[in-house]
Amino acid sequence: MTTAPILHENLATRRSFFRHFGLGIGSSAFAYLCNQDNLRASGQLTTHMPARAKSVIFFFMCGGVSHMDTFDPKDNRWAGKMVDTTNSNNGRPQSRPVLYCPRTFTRYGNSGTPVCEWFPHIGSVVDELAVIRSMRTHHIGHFQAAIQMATGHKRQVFDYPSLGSWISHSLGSVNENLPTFVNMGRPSSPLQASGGFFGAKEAATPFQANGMPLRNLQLPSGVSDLQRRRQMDSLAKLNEQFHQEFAFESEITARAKSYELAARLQMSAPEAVNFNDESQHVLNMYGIDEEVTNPFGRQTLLARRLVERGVRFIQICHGGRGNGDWDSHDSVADHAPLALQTDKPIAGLIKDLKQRGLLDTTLVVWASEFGRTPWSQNTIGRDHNPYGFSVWLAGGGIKGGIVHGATDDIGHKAIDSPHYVGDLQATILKQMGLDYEQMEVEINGAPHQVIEECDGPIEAILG
Amino acid sequence: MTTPSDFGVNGAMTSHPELLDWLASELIEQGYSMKAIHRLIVTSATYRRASSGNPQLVAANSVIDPENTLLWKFRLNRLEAEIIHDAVLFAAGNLDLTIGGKSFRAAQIMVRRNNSAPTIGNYDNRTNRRGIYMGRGFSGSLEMMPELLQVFNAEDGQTTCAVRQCTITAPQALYMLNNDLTEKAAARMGERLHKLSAGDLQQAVNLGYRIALSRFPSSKEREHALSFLAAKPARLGEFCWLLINLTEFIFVK
Repeated sequence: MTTAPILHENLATRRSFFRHFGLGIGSSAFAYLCNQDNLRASGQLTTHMPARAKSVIFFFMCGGVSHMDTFDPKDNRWAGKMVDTTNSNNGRPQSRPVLYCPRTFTRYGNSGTPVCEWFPHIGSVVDELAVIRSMRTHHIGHFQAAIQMATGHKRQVFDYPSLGSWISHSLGSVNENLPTFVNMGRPSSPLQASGGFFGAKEAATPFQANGMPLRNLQLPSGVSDLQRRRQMDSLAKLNEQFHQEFAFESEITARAKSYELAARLQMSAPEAVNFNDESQHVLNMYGIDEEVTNPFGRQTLLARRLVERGVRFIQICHGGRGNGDWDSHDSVADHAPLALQTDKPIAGLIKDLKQRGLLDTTLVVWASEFGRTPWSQNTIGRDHNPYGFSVWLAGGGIKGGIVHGATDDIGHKAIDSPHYVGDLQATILKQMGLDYEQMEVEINGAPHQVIEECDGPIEAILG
Repeated sequence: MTTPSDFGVNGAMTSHPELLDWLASELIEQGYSMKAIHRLIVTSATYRRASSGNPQLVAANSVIDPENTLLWKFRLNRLEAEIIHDAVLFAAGNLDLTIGGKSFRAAQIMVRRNNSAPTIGNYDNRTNRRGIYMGRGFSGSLEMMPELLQVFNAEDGQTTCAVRQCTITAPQALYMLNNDLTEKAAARMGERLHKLSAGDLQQAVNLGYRIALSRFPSSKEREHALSFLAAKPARLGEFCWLLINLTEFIFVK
């Protein structure tokens, strides 16, 4: 294996940029680090249509949230009755009784959108939400479904980039001191944070909302600020000779700039995660004052602060361990503590964005890899259900207080306005000013679409 | 050839078709010996060109052939992930050169493993082995790529990779600046220089440059290094950190 040279192309057209990229030439680090202004001037980083949103905050609940127990209430008319279905483990026909759902739903706000008792805070902002009850996906396995939700592709054979990296790749950075695509929390699959064929430069930068936000940002133990400053001064001097000799090489310029950006990150990233300038009442909105909501609250508040600093795509994964904490096969009641951890912070975020006038330009998405079945596996929990589930969106030009689409009487399949996850992705892209049909890259000479299967953006929820 | 995995209609044209043909026939002639063809290439006048030279000539050539398509200079190469790892440990005098055997897991992956179920494979516990033995790969549910390999563009093997990307990014700089690998190696290398030079700092500086960059320092560099050390042998570790973070350390010229 050899490394490819970094070419300094005259990046004349988007097309040729993509073509060169497709040939596997990593011109983009150079582009990213040295050519931001040129790219913008030559129209590289422009949108296909007017953007409604500047940033996306994508909440991903790992494991599969039960839609019947959260945003898609069903009456218990069918409870205990047998339905014919397929065993998800062996694909054989089976007959299962519909599980009784003990949730109580309340109609909130002017819209009267029903929300279950686990999400009273989200209920209080329900007039901002467009709930889609008719999502569907192809895979019944966690990781495949999570990968589809992130990449828009159902095949696992190719390293497809995730939505955040497409947006980061297409729109570039607003703030040169921070990354464009940030992930917090552990995703179900590493592909959810991957740059895929765009490579490491478009992958999500993992941020932590506690202490140091980025890896390698902190000086190693035993190294003092003074010592490192002395070293950095000397580093510049000792690099001088080599940098001068090779000043004609773009890679060397890029390398020097990468150290400058690293230094700026060391200054600006800890500032982003330092909540000292937030008032107590704002911290309380996110539940940072309470133990149970503190970890997720810190992540959601950091998300708002990153939005304010121009980060394009912030993904927050909740419960990403093993198959995902929301994977309640044994008892749906296992959702309760998870809902408690996230309800107040999510609602606090929406209220806070709104009071700052940021909600109009910030698209908030809440999703999971799939929903859960109307029946159990001889437990009081529910199995995986890719045929029908709910997601919701808020802000960023989304029509609030509406419910779109429906599943059948028992909540198994999306029957009214079914949407494959690709439609959700196309909607997010559209709000960011991007037309999924115009987004294509050539990899080894073959064109690759951002989304493999799609009926277009979900116009019914757009304001 | 910019598309080594695609010689078809969608691939790029090679810059020197006759040369490529000749190399192909030489490879066959030599009984498909990779060693023979490598020897032929690396001993050629073209391969042995300098990567820089007379600034005026370089400037003129850069205008005529900015991409170096005609191979008028040696291409400046950033080291690959594994080689950076090896170079850092080698400078510290701590690289285990054993050939063959099991892979090892990077420290970061071992930490990850504690809170996730799967145990994959059977690993060596010597973490100072060469970078090519650093476990990597892809799993749908578990991050298997060590940070070093990720930031320096190693592929996870999920798809075929004819040519690695070679980016230059801030996370790479942060890695070299603050990661434990470089910090520990620098400290170790400092002790090594101290021992080998028997306290003579001028000799330590010379030796440091020879170990890290395979050359002696220029008088200006030596002077600066000595003023950095300020007659304190305790600063040799800090000085070695500087050497490892030099641009020249991760580029082959």
